[in-house]
Amino acid sequence: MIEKIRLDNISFAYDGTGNGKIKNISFSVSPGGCVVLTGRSGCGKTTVTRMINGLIPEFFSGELTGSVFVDGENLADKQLYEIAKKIGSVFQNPKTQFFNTDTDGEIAFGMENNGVPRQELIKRVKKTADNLNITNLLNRSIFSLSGGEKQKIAFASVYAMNPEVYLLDEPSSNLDTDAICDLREYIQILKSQGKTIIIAEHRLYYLKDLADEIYYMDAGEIKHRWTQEAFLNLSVHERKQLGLRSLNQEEPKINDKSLRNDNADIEIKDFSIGYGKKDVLTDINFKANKGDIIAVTGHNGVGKSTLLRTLCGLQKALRGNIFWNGEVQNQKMLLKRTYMVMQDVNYQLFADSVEQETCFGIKNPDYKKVEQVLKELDLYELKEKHPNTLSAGQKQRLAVAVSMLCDKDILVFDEPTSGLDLESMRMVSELMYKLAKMGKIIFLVTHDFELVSLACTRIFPLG
Amino acid sequence: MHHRSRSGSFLDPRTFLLLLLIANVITFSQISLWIEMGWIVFVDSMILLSGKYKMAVKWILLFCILLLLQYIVLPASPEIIATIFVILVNYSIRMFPCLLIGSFMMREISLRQFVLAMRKLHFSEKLIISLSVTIRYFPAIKEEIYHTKDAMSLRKIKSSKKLEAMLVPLMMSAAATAEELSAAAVTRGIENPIKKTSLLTLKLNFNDYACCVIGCLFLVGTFILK
Repeated sequence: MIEKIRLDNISFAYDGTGNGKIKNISFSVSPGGCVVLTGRSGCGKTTVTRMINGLIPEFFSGELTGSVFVDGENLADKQLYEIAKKIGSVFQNPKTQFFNTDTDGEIAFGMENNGVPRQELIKRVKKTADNLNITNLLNRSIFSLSGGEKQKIAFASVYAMNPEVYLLDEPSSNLDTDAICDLREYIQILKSQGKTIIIAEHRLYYLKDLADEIYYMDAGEIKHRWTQEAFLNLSVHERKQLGLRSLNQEEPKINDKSLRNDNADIEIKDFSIGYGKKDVLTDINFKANKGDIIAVTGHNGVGKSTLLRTLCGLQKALRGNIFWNGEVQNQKMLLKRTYMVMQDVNYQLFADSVEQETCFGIKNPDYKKVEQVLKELDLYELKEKHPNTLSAGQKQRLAVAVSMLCDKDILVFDEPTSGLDLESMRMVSELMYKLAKMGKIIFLVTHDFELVSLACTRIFPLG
Repeated sequence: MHHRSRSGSFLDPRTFLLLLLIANVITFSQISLWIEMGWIVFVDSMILLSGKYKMAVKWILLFCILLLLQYIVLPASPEIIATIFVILVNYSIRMFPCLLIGSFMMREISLRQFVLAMRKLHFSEKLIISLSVTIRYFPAIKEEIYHTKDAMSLRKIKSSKKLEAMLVPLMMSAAATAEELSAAAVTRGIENPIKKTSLLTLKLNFNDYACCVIGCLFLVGTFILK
């Protein structure tokens, strides 16, 4: 069999930290093959992709044994820019993948670096936009694009370079359902062109019929290798035991478990939101009680984040009122009553230890209560640690701890499970149960249907 | 705007760089307010010609206010107020030629044109890459500050801690952003030593030559008066 890519008994550990270690990884991919690497967060799948695009060992240093071959040539003998001509990489964060401030320049960026003549550049930018169906994004400022659109431009920039191998590192983790659907189409295009594709991903529903082989990694080793057929035949029980996400993306079913009565704790009445004179959403009406976990759903751009910001008192409502136990709430009162756990929690962590974070900027912190809350959220053991060294889930819980110490009644979560594996997602839903039991009202904006089915008691559809 | 069809801007980035250099000479030689005023009228007319009427009016008004303060209001105000503001106003007027051409350049020139101009002027590739990453990072900072401000409003943070609260997330994300940006760049061949090409072209035209000649006249004027 001819091989496009072969990893030969690779082991690696990053300098300094013990994270992301991989051990004795060997596999090969034939030309035109599509391999998916999956597994829990931190299992080492991203590390494997970094071996193949040469970022390891040149960019991330560490202890490496074994070799990677592309078309029979050892990558160790090659410069990164030489590897880049053959292997195109798309990463998970759409915000940090672009260099230019306009879309055309970004699509051309890789080709410009390789000295493609100008006439050819123009032709290929146009052809790329046609093939990927993004002509509407040409000639725009990148900062005006949504996350999904940015990811498309990042993909287009690699596509324009026309590499033989595509390496995608959790490409879906910041995308909504529609954008994932487009991503799936892109991968289909690549397959039809006979490209070799390697994808590290924990979300599998959109890949299940594209992948020829699925490798399951755990603690840095490949533990299972399935063909597509064998993978699809896994039972739900087996899948869950391996901590893998659902293979189907079904509309969530919810049996409304909330106590619906006339005395709503919170009531949103004839509410209109937007910026300045521009209405984003009008005539919103909604009631909820303490203990409700409410999924706010709707397509991208429908105004979910505007609603959240208004609900939290971060911006003014255009018309209408919010009542808390029958009392009208102004912006200042809402700011006091609500707390938002942001999609990127890093923006809301300011201090240099977990314990200090919980009392950051508070005049006379109640240390007894701090201890109690930290214990409740399994953070007490970590209280001396720097927030930046925590895992994504732990950071989220820390933000929740802050909200509990500020005695907030309403908690708003913005995409709390983007990029999380099954277990971490379950932990998020358990956390929400706990908060609901304490009598909090939780609003949750998410594209994660699995989370909605698991955690939410109600759905608040927008648009 | 018909000027924009060419390379997208009223003047070539190289012309802007030359004008910026001349503005610096005028500012730091400090010989005559008349030269300075002449320069401001010249640049402001260019802004008008390029079709940015609002911007032109805003800057000329600002300059008039500064002159008014310097020569009429401050000499007539109580000594305490005068001493406080005189330095600020004086320096603003001095720096005005640079500020004006600088902000005009920022409005007109895209990062990509700037990079191409630097390549044409044979700046070193290292300098170009680090400069362009720096410029690219500014809008990202703006976005981050917006989120951090939200996060701060949701918590009771005493004023003495506000600056710290602003800076910490920014620093933390800066390191991660720098790493991810560089990874994206090297996997798209930024280190390739081959001569790089560009989707854009730069060509000097009448506007550029005219502005260069006028700019040089200012330079000559400055040296003669000295």
